[in-house]
Order: sequence, then C-alpha cells, then structure tokens
Amino acid sequence: MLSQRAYQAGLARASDVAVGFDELEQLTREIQDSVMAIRAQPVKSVFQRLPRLVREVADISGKQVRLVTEGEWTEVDKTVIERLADPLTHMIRNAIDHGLEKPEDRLAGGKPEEGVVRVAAMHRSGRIVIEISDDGAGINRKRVKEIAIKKGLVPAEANLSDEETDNLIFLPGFSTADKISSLSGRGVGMDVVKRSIQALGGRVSITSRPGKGSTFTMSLPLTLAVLDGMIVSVGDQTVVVPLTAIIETLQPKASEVKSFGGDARLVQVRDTFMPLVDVARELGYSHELASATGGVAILVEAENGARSALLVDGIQGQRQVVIKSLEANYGRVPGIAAATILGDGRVALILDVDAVVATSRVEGNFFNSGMKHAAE
Amino acid sequence: MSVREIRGWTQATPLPHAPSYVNGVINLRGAVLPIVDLAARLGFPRTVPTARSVIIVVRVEMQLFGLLVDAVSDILTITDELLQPTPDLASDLAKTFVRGVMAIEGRMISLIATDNVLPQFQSAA
Repeated sequence: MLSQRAYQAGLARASDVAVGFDELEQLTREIQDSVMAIRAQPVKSVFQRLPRLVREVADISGKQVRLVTEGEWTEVDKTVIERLADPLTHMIRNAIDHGLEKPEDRLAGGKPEEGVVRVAAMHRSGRIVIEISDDGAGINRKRVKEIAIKKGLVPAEANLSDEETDNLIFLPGFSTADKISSLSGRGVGMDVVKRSIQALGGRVSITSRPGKGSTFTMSLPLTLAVLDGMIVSVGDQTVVVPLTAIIETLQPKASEVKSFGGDARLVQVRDTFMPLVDVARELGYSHELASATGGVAILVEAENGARSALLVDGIQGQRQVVIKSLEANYGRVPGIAAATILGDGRVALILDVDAVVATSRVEGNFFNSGMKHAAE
Repeated sequence: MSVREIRGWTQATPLPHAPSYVNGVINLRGAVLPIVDLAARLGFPRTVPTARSVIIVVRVEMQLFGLLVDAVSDILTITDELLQPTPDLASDLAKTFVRGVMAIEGRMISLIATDNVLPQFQSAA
C-alpha cells in the first residue's frame, strides 16, 4: 500500500526509498506470519474431548462405535478452535445417532458390529478442513424428502437431485427423529451447526452413499483475525464482501435482468434465476433502485446454499483485511458483520452476506439454488 | 471524567439502519469509533460537520464513542453545589441526557449524562 503510493507519487522503482518500502513490506508480512503462527494451536485440544463424547453417545444409543481421529496436530487459530467444539460435538452425535445402524442391523447388512466414526483435520488451500465420516447407512433420501415435504420445506412436486436432498437436512426445523430423545429430535439441528460454521466464515457439505455412510466436510478459515475480502463500491461507500461467500462475479446484461413483481428482480445466470439484491438500498445508502446494467453482480452462496446476486457499483480489488469488531463500541448492525480499516485510514464495513440476503427476501422461499421454481 | 480526548472531525463511514443521530464510525488509531451527533441526540437540528467541528472521545464503562460537537469552549471543574437538578419542565428527552444544569457567568450550562447517549443495544460486550 505504502509502496504503491510512493510509486504513484512518481518515485522511481529502483530508488533507495522504494527499496526500503519493499523491505518494510516484507518485514511486516513476516511479523504477521509469525503472529499468526503464535496464535495457531493444534486441533488436538478439541479432539481430546471426543472419545468421551463418543462413549457416552454410544452407550445411550446402544451402538458400538470406534472413533478414529486423524490430523490432530493440524494447527488452527485459537479463536476458531474455541468455536469449533460445539458444531463438532453436534455432528458427531448425529453421526452416531442417525448415521450408524444398530449392531444387529449392521450384522445383517454384512458389516462388522462396531461402527466407525472418523474425524480428520487437514489443511487444504489455506483453509482447515474437518471431515466427520461414519460407515453407517447413509442418508435415507426418500425419508428426508418425505419429511421435508410434510413439513412444507419443499413443494411436493419438487424434483431434487441426490445432493439437493442431502442438503435439506440443513434447513431450519428439519428433524428426522420421530421421538425426542436426549440425543436428537429437538429441532435444534443441522441448521444451527451450519449457521455457527458460517458465522466463522466456513462452509459445510455432505456426501452420502446409501449403505456405505456419510461424510460431513467443514471447511473453515485458518484465522478470524484477518479475512480475504473483495473491496467493492456501494454508492459512495466502500464495502468488503468476504471472499468465502463469493462464487463468481459478472456484469448483468439488460436482457438477463427480469423484473419479478414490485421492486424484486431476478438475474439469469446460465439458465438459473436468482434474486438480485441491491446492496446500496439494503444498507440504506440509497433509496432508489439502482440500474442493474451499470453495476457488477456478485454471486454469493448464503445459508441453505441459496444463491443470490448482490448488485454493487464496482469492484475495487481484493485484499486481506483485519477484522475489527463493531460490537465492542457500538452494537450489532443488521447486514454488517464487522468493520475494517482500509489503507487510507477510513473505516469500511464488512458485509454480512447471509443477513443482507435474508432481509432482502420478501417471501423467503428461494431456498435452493438448483431449484428453478423461482422462474416459474 | 468520561472524556478521553478531543480531536478534529474526519469523514465518518455511515452505518446502515442506524438512528439519525449516529453519524457513523471513524478510525481512531486502529479502533472503530462510533460518532454520535450530540445536537441531534438532544433534539436540536443535526450538526453539519465541517473541518472545524470537534469530536469528543468519551468512555462509558467499556464502550468508547465520539460526540460530534460544534466547538469546545472551556473546561470547567464542577462541584456538587454548583449543579442544580434538571428543571422539571424539561422534556423526557432532555431529562435522559442532561444530568443537571448550572449557572456560570450568567450562562446556562448543561451537564450531559454520557451513559445514555449511545443507543441502547443488546450489546455483545
């Protein structure tokens, strides 16, 4: 930043000052890296608690379970570790209670009596990935769909792919358990897990094979202190959109933007339609609906895997920003996750993508990206 | 005293869905500082910030925030004898924010109750 300014000021790249700036930049980055390394801790501290949990849940549910952990020395930022325990606990409970079959059913299915729950942590492309897999029955898609239809979470005639069906378990209010037990069926389910992971800037996905088991994959940022963000202009303000939420960006053509009653608009992206959210209007920076063709649409994936397009005025760039809490001195602001300070010393707000999309949704039923009923 | 420092005006980043008397947030040496327009908070017309406007940085318990004012004229030492309770005819708004009034050199000076100036949130702090 500093060196860029210096070049803009007409300083030759080879001059002593410029070389000094480069050195400074390098040193600063080294300091940042070392601080991050100090904050990093192995996930072992969370994994250590798991055997006990597994034993308890196995006893209550009458199942035989063996826990396998891998990669417990994988290092993550302290703050992430602290907030990892709850969702992890919940998912392991689910794996045992819903995933694994009863010993007699396992024997009948030609599997060893003892079920295996595997928890593995690893680094993958600058993020930490935690996989929780079981060798149980896999997700009973027929049942999941029946329940979702019964609870009115999806239209009865919806034609869902296997993957979409699996993702239904992340919907709020979804529960497969018929009875409320001490383990499950309380309706505080996977949606809470998903939300708490998203609050950390992470994602969850499922792969499931009938009869073979399911794997839940959590992908989390390595730290909560910095965030990779896309710097965008909204009105005359600068806003940061977390990169983890962004799928792609595009410039909508006039023909691709459809009016959808009132102020609601849809944008067509390769045969799917998604709601176009005017960020400036959502944040109250402008009261008029911005023209869709002048701006840039940022495709984001929010809660429930629902995709929306955020309409902003322009993209300024992409960079790492340091997260500053707004809550410490002020309070929660709807639609805003936190703040950061840009290179020019001004405060920029970090967008809470889920919240902005959620408040913009008038009728709340665009729950699934793959579903094209929005277009009908 | 709750006043921490006094500084000049810098352009604030507006906060969405904030009350009209909240100007936004500024960067105070790396911390994010919300700015409250004191005039607007007290029910007067909003201050139009100029380069000569002043931000008084105030700490209330653990929260730090700035009050936007037109100018700082003096620093006074107040004793309890000088302070008169807020007159009864004052509106609720004034009563909330004014702890008392005093007469100094023929002028009425109000003592601001800083703890009530920030909007009340279910703050996470």
